[in-house]
Amino acid sequence: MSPPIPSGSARLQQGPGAAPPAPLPSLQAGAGPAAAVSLLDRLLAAIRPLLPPAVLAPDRLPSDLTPSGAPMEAAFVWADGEPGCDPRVSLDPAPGALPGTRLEAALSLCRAVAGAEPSPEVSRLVARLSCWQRQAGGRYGAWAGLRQSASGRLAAKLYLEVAPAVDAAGRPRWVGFEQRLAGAPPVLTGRNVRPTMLGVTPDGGVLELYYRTDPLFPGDLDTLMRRFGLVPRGREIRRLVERLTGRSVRFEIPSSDVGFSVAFQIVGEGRAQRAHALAFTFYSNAAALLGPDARVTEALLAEGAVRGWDMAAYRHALSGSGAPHGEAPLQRHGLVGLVLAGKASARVTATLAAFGQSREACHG
Amino acid sequence: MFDVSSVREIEYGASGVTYVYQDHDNPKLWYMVPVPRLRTLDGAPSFGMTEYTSNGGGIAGLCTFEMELVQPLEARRAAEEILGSDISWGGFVWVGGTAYFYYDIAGENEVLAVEPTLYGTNVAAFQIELATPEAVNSFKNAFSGDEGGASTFRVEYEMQVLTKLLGAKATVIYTAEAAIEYEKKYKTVRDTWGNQKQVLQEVKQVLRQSGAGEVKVELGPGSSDELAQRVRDWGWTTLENQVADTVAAAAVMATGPNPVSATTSFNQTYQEDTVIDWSTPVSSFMRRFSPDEWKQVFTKVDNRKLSVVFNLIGELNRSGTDDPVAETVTVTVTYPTRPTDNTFTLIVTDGDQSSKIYDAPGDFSGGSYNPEFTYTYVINFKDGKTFKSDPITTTDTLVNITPNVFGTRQVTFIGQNIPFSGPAGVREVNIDFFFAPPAGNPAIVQTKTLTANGAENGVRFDSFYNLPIGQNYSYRLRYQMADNSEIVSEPPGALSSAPDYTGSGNADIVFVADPKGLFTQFTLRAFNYTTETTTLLLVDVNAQYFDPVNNGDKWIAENTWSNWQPTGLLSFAEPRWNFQAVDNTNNAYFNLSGTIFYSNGESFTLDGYRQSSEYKTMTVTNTVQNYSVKVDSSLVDWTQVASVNLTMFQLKPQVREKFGKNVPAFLSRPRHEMTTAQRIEAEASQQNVMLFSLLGAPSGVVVDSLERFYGIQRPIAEPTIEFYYTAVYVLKDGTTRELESQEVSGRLSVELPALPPATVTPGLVRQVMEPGALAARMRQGG
Repeated sequence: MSPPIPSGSARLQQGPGAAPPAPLPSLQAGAGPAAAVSLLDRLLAAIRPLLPPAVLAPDRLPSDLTPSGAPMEAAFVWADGEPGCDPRVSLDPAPGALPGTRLEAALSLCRAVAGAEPSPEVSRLVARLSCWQRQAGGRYGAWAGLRQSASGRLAAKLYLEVAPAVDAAGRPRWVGFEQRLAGAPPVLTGRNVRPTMLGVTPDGGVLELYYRTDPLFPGDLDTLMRRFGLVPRGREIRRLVERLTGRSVRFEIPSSDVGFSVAFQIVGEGRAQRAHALAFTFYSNAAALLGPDARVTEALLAEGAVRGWDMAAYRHALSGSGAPHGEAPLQRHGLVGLVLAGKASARVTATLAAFGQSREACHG
Repeated sequence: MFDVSSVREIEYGASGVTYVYQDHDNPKLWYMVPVPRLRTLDGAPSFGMTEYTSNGGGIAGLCTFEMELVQPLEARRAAEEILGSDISWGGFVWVGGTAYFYYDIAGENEVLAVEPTLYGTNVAAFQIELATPEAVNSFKNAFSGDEGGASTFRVEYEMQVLTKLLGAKATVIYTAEAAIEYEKKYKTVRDTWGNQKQVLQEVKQVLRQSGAGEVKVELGPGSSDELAQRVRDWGWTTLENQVADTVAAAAVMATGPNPVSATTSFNQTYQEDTVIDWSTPVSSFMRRFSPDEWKQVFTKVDNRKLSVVFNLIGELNRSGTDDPVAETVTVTVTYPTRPTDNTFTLIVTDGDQSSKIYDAPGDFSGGSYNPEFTYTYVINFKDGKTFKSDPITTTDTLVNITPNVFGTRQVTFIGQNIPFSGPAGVREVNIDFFFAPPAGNPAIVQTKTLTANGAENGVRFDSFYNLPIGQNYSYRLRYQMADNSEIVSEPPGALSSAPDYTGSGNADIVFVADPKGLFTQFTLRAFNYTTETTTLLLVDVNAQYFDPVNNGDKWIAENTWSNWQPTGLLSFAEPRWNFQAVDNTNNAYFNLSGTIFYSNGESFTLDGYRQSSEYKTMTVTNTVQNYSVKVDSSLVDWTQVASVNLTMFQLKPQVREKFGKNVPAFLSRPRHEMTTAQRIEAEASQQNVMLFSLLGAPSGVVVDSLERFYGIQRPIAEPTIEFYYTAVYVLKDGTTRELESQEVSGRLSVELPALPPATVTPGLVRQVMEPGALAARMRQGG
């Protein structure tokens, strides 16, 4: 449905002395023999002229967008019977900068892509969440997301950090906002469900709220989906996890780092404005669910082979990996997830930090 | 024996599902996995729910019920329609199991696990305290309503049964390096190791996320993907439990932080035909009560009541028979609000009345709810004898009466993949088995012989006393090889790997494997604490592996790390040292020699430092120096003594001053025998805990006087070496004697006496070595 949540959380778990930033991806379409056909390469080539210099700088600081420190992450979305992989990219427009700076940089990128200012509603949202970030000490502020339509037109999405700011009574400031959006009281009060990021299109037509939670049972997912007026489809998530892990899921979903997002369509204006949930996406940190990169890759390729997905772009992106300075590569996969939109067929998503073949390549 | 690859799903009734397995040899013989059902007692459902309207003493309600396993007739009929009416049905013999209650409160899923009995209809009693009115409403909605039918809540039984791995081969692999790397990268502080259940949770995550765990399944011809998943499930559970045990043991032996870094790699392959304990999970939804039934099972009262489940668990029939080990257990509860009718009887003989939910009005006389009660029980044995327990005061709402209090233990040894053929194979395995009997009963080392693999050829040691016995036992395997040589394999004593273990543990299975070719890994690790100005500069170490009972005084394997320069907080000498040896961790040991150089120009000589092979990691740090203590058992009078359990430990520096000379005596006991409070104190105060189990010999066999070695650590800042030990001698006449509480100084060795005097005050021995004596010893050692 929408670009997946960036996986910068895993970065936080690293202690001081983290590895140096990973080199940037090659943004040249046709850099490799198979690259010319890669949908992801086409997207990367299209966005390259728009990238802020800070993303391309060879001496940039590591980004907390990805576990590897890369400031860019590709997302693939596969569905049975659908061609391609619907690639999209999330990026940190100012690696290492303060949240406010990154928010401005992300907004600039969105303006450049849309060719217009964000809608007044979006501007108000940005101001509000920016205020929370200042109050609570934001971690990253914002990311930008980019995708390409079939006609080749680029579309942007702004990801805003939902910082844990509190009011005078100690209540998180996001509570009222979240309940109005959800349209129903909270559920699963024992699972530490909290929104962490808001994705918004520049026109404000679609909002996507991203949550993190404590470990969940498949049945909990049904409870969550019901809250948003969506068809409960937790069983499909359980089956996907069983297929990817090759094991039965009898208790919690076997991952210590999970979350979900709900995409809302915003209709009406002013007081008549309403949010209708369109899609629910379950996410897990890829490593927490499946292990190191090799195992994530093995599981995704095996599932893709059985279900006939187009994995060419994913394979090609994988082949571009390389460890900087001969060090063991850090985890490249960020998240795996399942997108459930209404009664439509489920779509599987995975994110991969962009790794370049070499530092030199990013100068090209 | 049933064939795991033949599983078929059987649907019956409105929504029932169960599974059937075909016998491996007889195609007309099938086994049906029984399904859970709510018990009925005197025609009424064994179910009760109470809502507290005013003073719930912290809770809003309580739900209690009992489940059992049955084979519904309609399930059999449904199976016979598919499999043919000419089939016959076999029965499973459970060797363990867990029952799970899956429920949700306001849509939030929860699971409660309990241990069912292993006899009768495998009754499992559940009690759920409902904290909030919302939780009470969730339960009321789940179990009542005009529409009737199935509840959304369900119960699953996962029972273990012995069978052969057919149609697949499985290998479980633990790569310690990957787990350690993960720990270093993602987390440097842990405080939960040492608790079995928490360890297992952590282990699952570490194994998955680090890639340190791997289960490979190779399917045989014609086997299904479903079998692959079931075998993989089994393999992962096996691997997780093995690693959890390893980590928990490393945490208890703790000679440094981060017990994961003290684990070593292993892998184990289970070939086709290997005997394994297979799980048979099956669940069924509970039912909603009709309005009339609901009136009977639901009550609303003002104040919270005391509600306690009393449960007989484990195997209380003599193995292979329906002969129960006792007749009844009479329980008497003392609680202020219920002055009469406080005695009830649990009946062992039919397995159906093995649990009782006792309740009484809540005692609020002190202003708040009083959860504390006292109980005693009297076991009435078949021969007319009785045993009365001491009064036990507790706040537990689930009281399990375990088989060891009946004096019963049934341990079966099963050959798993022993090569019982060929010129280099095994002729037979003699198993020496020992446990401490009740006082006054003769204690002997029993020996039985295993001559073939498989459950049908297993060798069982039964004991049935009419008095309580401890939960521990020890054994030694003596493989008689075809070339007339002997290989001895003896595990270490059960230290405390399962401090939270609450299982019955009386019907244990010990799998006996090929004695040769066990993969062994030894790790040399270093901690360079940044709090110190002096760091480790260089380490030269030579390590040798000795197994005197199998290889005399010659080393079996050797490795040298030269000029190793430890870096960072935690580092490992590479490459890791891998070799193959007999699994004889009770008395094999590592001998290490070398020099550790520090940045301040000083050095420390490892002069024949020895440590038990149970601990496969040597830790050097810039804060401690390593010495070994020799345990000499040559004086033990094995004509009178059957077994000696020697527990050794050190105190963490921060508690030495706190305890002074009054070190609590409970620290000498295994952690599973401690109370919760004692366990917490032990975890906070003990380190480097080792249990040496010294086993006498059966009649006609000479006891080897083997030396054991205890590796200890002396903080560099503290010139004195200090450690504690206690030894319990079990005499052949069934009495026990312990070492006298005393202080010994000037020695780095422990000489166990022939027999402690009967008159001494038993207690801990504190052994110290002052700086002067230590320096003299080091000079002497060169």
